[in-house]
Amino acid sequence: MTIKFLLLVNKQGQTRLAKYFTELLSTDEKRALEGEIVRKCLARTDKQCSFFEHRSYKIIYRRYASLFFMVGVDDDENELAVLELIHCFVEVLDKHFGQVCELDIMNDPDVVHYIMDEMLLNGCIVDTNKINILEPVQLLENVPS
Amino acid sequence: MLQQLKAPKLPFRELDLLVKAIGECRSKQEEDRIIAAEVDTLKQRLSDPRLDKTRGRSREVDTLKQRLSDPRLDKTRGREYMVRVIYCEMLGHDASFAYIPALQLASDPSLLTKKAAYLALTQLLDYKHELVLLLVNTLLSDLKSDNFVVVASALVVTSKLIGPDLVNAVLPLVIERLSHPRESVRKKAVMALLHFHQMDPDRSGPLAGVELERHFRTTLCDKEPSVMAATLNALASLAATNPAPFRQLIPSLTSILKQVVEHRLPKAYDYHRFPAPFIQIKLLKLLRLLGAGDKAASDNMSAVVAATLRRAAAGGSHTIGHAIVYEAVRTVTDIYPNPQLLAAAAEAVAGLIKSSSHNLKYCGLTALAAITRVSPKYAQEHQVAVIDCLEDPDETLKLKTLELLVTMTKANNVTVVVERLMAFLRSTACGGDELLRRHIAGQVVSLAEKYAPDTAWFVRVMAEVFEVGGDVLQPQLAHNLCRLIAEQDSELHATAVRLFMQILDNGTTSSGGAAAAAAAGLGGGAAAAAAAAGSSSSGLLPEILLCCICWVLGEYGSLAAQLPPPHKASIGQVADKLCAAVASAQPSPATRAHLLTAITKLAARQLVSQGGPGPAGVLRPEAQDLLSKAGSSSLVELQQRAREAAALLKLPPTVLSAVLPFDGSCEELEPAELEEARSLSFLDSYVNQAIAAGAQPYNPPPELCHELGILDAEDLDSLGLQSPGAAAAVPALGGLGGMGLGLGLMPAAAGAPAAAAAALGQQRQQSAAAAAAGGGVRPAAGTALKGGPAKGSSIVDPFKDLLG
Repeated sequence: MTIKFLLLVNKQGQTRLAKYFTELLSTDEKRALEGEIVRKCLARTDKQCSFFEHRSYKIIYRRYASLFFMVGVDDDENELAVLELIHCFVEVLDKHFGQVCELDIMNDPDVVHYIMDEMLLNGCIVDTNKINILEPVQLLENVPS
Repeated sequence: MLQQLKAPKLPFRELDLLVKAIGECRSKQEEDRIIAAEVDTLKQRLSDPRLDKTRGRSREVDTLKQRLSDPRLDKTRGREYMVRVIYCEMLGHDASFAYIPALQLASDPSLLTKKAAYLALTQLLDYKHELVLLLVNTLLSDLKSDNFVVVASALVVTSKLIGPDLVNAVLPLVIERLSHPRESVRKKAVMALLHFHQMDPDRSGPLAGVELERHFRTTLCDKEPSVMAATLNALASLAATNPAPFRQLIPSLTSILKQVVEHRLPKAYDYHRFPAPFIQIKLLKLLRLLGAGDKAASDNMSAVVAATLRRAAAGGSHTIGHAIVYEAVRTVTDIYPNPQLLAAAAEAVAGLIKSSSHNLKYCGLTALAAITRVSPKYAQEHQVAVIDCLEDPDETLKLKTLELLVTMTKANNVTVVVERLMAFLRSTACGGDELLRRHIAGQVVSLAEKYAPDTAWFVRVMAEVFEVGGDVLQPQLAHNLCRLIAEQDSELHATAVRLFMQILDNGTTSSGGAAAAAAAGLGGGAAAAAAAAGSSSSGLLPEILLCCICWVLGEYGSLAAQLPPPHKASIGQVADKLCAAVASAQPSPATRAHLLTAITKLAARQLVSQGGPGPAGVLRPEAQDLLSKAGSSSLVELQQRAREAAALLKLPPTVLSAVLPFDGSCEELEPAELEEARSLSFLDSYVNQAIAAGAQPYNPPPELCHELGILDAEDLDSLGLQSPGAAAAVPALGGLGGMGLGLGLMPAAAGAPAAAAAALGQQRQQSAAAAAAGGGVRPAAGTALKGGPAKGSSIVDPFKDLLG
């Protein structure tokens, strides 16, 4: 499984979180790419697939309230599995933050990154077991700052 | 709805202000201002107190810069600063000022600060960056830490930032960590090793002699499923390049998969009541890699793959179940074909395609395409469902269906498939995406070439494709098409002429859809006509199509007189149409050159058939206009053709019919004739006469001398020149080749001698043209360029002196 990037962007096109795996793009290139993808996502309706192609990537996206979760993969990927991976990620976030919302992600982006690091490394799925994922993250809560 | 603001976990921090500001800002400019100020603040706080006075607009960046540059950095806010730096970068601002402070903070004893600094570094840097070297010591000491969270964080950084040169420094420690008591550490160590492998896949660098496979075999049997799952990633990567050594793992893998589907893993690995579905999918992928092309391996795995497929299909209607089914079907189609498995897979796919969810349909179509490649009969059963998908408004789905249709195309349905593809090509969905258009146009061309039922259909389809997708196709295709037309009989010539005339008519009055309308006129089919009505092309005919039209009408335009009305036209009218179309399309020099040639040929034909200039003169006014403009053009090619045309058209009709024969483009020459043309020996007497009368002998440029064998390669070298090869005597015009003055030399032989002869021929021809009254001998070809773009010459333009 080679996932190239994972983006969280809201309906106004503001990036809330951006994680790139193994793709060596400059800051400008990344932001340009995000803008293009978000525009395409926003233009799609509910009657269409949750997948589309953009340049050399296939984009799989899912909308939760005001946020778009968008994953870019290279070809020959199991689109349905990636769709469910996004959902699994959201479930984990929900378990940690309790009824997670966009503001949670904005306030603690580093924690969201740590959770992502437990699940995905270098574009591969490592673990989807919620207990395994959240244990090290919850330990951080108890550390005096 | 207003969300409850969560109580911040740390004491009040400026980050909250930043977050609030970003959340409330209404425009990108405002956001930029805020962030720039933040950067400035951070810079100040983290480094020397040198205020960056030249900053532009943003506040956060400025603030950050200030804060980060202050030597009295408040380290208790370390985590906060790092998060703010991440924000700045994420919103598009350069955060390089934070590299050094982040490196410093990474060695901070506070866990939160350290992790935040590591995170910032992984977001900002990559393994190619020089500063990573400064991080190695911190990483090494963290990898040895007692705190497993610290070790885990160090491993995450290692998998991203360690490049090939630094692998050696960390490799031993990482291998040790493979046996750490905590699964969180072990699985990350596996991923770090995978990353090292990707840095040095051939084992020629730092990993030389390291047996990663041995380590992975051990971790595959780890008691924690998560470590095993991480190992599957590594194995998949290794097996992708060379599956053979891993086939012996198949028994272990099938046994693991069996255990997983039988719910023998801890409940925590369940996802919506499916047992470890992502692990199942990983295993299926790996088995697919190992079983491909190997019957024994595929037999070993067939039972467990079948069981996985069955259970996933029966597990209820959750997307993850469908995901497993989809993956199992892909595995079945890629390994050695097994009839029972294929039947089970086809059944599963039927379920996917018939579902109402677009996502499932999409995957169903991909799976069906895969099955069809192995076993075509299954596609027939689902034809109805597939055609339904074609009508779906979702463009992604339509595209997938088209791809499926392409794999299903045979001679009996090619016309239908090509129609659908052309309709898609014309539609707006295709409009902006050039990669997609090139792909589809390419599909149409290759399908047409493979399965065309007859030549007329082929010509029509190619003309359509040129019109709609001409800008993304290779110019060589026009050349091929013209050659094909030339080799056919006169009936096809007439058909082609009629088609192109219609295109010209439609193209000049309406925008786009010209070829489709023409095609519909020729009995193309309902889809083509409908598409013409809703076309969206820009209204100008593409170059590739214009070139074709010029050549075909030039060669065979006289046949227009024999067509039934409304297509019947005299030669003059054909010439007019050509001029008008080309004038409106603003063509490139190459196209204009073709146009001149075409006009010349048409005029010559008229002269020949009339036995001399008619009452209206040799050429129509527009054509005459074009010729004289070209005659004084700054482009050498155009000038030359214009002057040749002028000279040729003064010849008596008998000579003209020999010089520009009708339909002579495919004539083959005898080797002796070719040699004669190459050396122009028949002109020797004339040349000698002229020299005797005091004319200067011709001094060819050194490159040509080499071509003709007069000079050696060494002489050329000493002059600092190179042999021009096929590029001889061709002013760099690019575009199509092989469209000579139609003098009967479509060079089947190598281009170089013909081109060189051409060059030589030009020069003598200028003076010889007027006097070539000598009987019926064809002078060498005019501009017999060889196909393909002319290379930009490093040679002197041989015409410069003559026409300069």
